[in-house]
Amino acid sequence: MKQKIAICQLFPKLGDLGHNLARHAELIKKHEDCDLVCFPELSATGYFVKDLAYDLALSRDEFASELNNRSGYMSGRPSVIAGFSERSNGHIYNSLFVGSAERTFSHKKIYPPTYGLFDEYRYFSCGEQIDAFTLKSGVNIGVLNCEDAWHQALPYIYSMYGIDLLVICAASPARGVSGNAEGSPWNVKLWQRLISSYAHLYGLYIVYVNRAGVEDGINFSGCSCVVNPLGDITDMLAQFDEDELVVELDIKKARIEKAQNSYLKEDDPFLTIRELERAMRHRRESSK
Amino acid sequence: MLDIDCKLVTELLTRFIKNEVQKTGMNKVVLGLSGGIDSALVAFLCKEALGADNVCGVRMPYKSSSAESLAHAELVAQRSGIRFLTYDITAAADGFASQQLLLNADCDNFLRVNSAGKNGSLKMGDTLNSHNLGNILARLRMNTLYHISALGGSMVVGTSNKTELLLGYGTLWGDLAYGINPVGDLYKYQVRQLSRYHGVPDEIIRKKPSADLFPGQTDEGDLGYSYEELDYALYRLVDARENPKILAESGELKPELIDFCLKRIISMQFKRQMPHIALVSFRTINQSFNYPRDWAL
Repeated sequence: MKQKIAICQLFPKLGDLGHNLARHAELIKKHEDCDLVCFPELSATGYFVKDLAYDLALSRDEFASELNNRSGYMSGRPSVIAGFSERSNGHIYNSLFVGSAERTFSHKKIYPPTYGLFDEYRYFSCGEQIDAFTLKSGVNIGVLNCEDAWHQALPYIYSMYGIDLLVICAASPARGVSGNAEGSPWNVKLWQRLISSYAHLYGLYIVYVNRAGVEDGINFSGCSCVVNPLGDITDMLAQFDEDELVVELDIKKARIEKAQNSYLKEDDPFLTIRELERAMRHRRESSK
Repeated sequence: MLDIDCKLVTELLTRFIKNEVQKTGMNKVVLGLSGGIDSALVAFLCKEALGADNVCGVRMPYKSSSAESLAHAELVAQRSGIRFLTYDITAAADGFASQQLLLNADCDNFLRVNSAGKNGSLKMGDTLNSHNLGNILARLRMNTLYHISALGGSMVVGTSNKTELLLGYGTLWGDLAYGINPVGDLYKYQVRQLSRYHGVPDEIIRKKPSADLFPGQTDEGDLGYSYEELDYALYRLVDARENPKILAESGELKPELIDFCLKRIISMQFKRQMPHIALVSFRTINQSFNYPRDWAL
């Protein structure tokens, strides 16, 4: 089972929803023969939105209809993953929109980071749920929004849903330029290590879609990539600049890998739940 | 520890310059060329980002500026191929100094002078010393750069490095006034490393950095420590976030150097931020009205 996936490493215009949605529509139409078209985190708004998080927020259905009006994706082949500021139950979330002809879904970022140069939790609430999404082709996917991926429980939970493909959308600023950087920001290497390990451990494909460009003086790394179920990076997009790539993933390989993967076969999630609860009780009691 | 990957840093800084300038609708930059290493490096970086024809270096000497500084500024313009202007600020500065300051009331406390016997007026020049003259000159240069910026629609690019910014070794609204600054996250050591990579003339890299107000003045003389010492101490305190007390006890750094750096970092914080605005509403600029600088750019 082959899945054709377009990775759109976009440089969105900060705070210009109309311009960005038009760019999304253009790329969705361009890749109408794909099964999935992926955009980075907050691709519809830009990343350092601050108060614009509120000003530009749309409900999931409003976003779907804005996107559909411009791109007609609901009557086309590809499903779309894009980043937007979501208004839901009176709260604002840094969300990933996942839409197809059949279904509209969104993943609300669970861990909006608030440290160093990040200030997301000031503007966005935390999502509280993880759900897998089935594409028209029957392929199960999971989506994580940038910082989410650094919380190892989330890919693990997705692996329990038996996903074949994990799409990680990101807006990762380039940092770390020491003499041994070998041409790439240090945190690009950290990302690669992280997602290679997940792909290998959970026997799945990972599509990492990072953004490009400069916002408020900060460069984003680009370097979006595809990792196969053995943990090898098979494709890589441009560093720093806008780029696009269409890849064809043989989902069968992920399923074979999962079936043969002894870590997954022997893994006992109930033990994890039990022992986690015990560890948390211990932590609570020892901090009294 | 302070070594950088020059190719990578160049990629980041040239994209920074190109993007932050062009998204405003401009495509040109203007910068002051002092003849020193920081402005030389910025000239080379801007040239790489925007092309030599879109970069204008401005030499703004004062009568006490050294001939060497002027020659070095010219050398930077020649080697980098950027456009080049000279505007002598001596007449402007001397005009400022020669004008009478009319004392409509007793303002001696404000001026730190004794105006007794001055017949109600004072020459501005009588209030100047080498320190505040330096600030006046820096602000005249800022005026010149912003005027040129407005004439041709070019952005003023700053050249203050991280060592200077942390220590507050710069003039507020003078050399610290600019649209963007590509080198403000690089310590002096890193500025030197990157300058070698970009082919900044060796004599500029090797000479002692100076504000060039009077013969023999050097930054290191003004600050009391060498850049090597300052960069290393600042790196340990700021980037590595080491505990100053433990660092002092370890004997790796002189306690008085640590103390000097901390005092300067703290007391000069105001030079690194926009001024306070009194908050009275629920939507106060920069407190609860927070928008990105690159809003819709």
